[in-house]
Amino acid sequence: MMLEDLYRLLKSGHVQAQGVVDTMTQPIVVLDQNFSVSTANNAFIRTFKVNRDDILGESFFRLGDGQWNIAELKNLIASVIPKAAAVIGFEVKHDFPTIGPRTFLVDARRLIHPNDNGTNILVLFDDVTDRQHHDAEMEFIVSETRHRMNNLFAVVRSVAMQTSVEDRTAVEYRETLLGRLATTFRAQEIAATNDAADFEDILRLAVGELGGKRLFCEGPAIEIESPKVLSVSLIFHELTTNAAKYGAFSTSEGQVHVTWTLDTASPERPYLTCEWREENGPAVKPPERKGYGTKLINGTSAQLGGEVELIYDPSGLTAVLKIPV
Amino acid sequence: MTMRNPMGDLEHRSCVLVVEDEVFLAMELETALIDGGFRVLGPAASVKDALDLLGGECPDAAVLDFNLGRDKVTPVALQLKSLGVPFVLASASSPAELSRYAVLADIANLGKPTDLMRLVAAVRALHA
Repeated sequence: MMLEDLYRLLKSGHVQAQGVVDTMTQPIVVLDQNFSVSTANNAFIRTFKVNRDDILGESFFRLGDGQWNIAELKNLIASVIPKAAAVIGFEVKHDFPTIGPRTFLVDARRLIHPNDNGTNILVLFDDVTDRQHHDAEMEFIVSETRHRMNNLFAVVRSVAMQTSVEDRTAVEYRETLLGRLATTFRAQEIAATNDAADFEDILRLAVGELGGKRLFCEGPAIEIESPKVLSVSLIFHELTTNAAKYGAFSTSEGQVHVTWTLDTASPERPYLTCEWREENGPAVKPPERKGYGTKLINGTSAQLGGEVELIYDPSGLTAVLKIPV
Repeated sequence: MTMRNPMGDLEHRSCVLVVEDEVFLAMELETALIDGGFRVLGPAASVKDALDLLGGECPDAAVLDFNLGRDKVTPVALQLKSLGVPFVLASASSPAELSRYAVLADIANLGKPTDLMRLVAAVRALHA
């Protein structure tokens, strides 16, 4: 459309046309029949970082050490002359010495002067490099979002499937499920926004409000890499849930003492050894059957490449966790 | 490779490496494979852990997630190829993304969420 307007204007008056060409935001050159530059607008000068005096009258394909000597562009422009056709939106990808890799949509049209039958070629460049980058980025974001949604759904489904319905009321099931989901999402939030998180922060977050003044932590600052944050959170979430039901968090006097050390005996694989010890709670006896919570604690530790030992001491549960960090 | 008695002793079961970083999904895969008559190596949550496990034992088959945190599973896939261990993917990644990796070119992806019945059937088919 723009090209049509230009074509009409160029026919009606050179001065007026020159004004229009200069006003155009896209780079434009007008070539004569020998492909020498007869006009270049300001946008062209600016975009390709050239000097107007250096290019006028020069062969277009020799400009700037032949940076325009691109086979596909040459064929395109050459084909416009005999066919008298307009070529619209021809994509040219090229690594220009001065401005780097760029993608242009090139329009070319033959202009015939009514008076002398001389031929000119109007070439217009639309720089779509940024637009294409942006489109590619958007496409990536959309595909990444879809991927995460699928993943998230898979996790939710999996948690729901694995949360036992046996010997539970619907309300109990719902609370257990929501507790696990909340822990999962909080951990994913941490993992998505940080490369690592502090062990004590993860522990306190997983224990939550139940910890209050009854959770005592002692140990050095240890960074947990983000892929492991969820697993560590889950272990403490399940221990907390268990303590709230049967252990130290089920009475007001109960306390939980968590201590940890970093074992660097094998420097390439340092181990975090952590002890969760419940005190002043009700008398503890080993469970009659292993529930999913216990399985989850074991499975999660194993997934971290570590192990956990649950000691049902009558005075309170002790869990000893060893994981590589 | 022949399928041994699927419900036989633990040691005589075919061994399947599971690589999946989401702990719930890993446990679900593990349970489904054990119920399907296999023994599970792992689950491993990272490329490093998976390669460590492969250093100790060569499984009969493997089930791999594609994205492991910020890593891709491709080094594990390459190692499995060189060991001649057949494997399937269980990943939410698009075919377009997976097709960028030559080592995954002819590998079936069971998708995510994963139909566990289909997965167990696919792992069984790897032996056939």
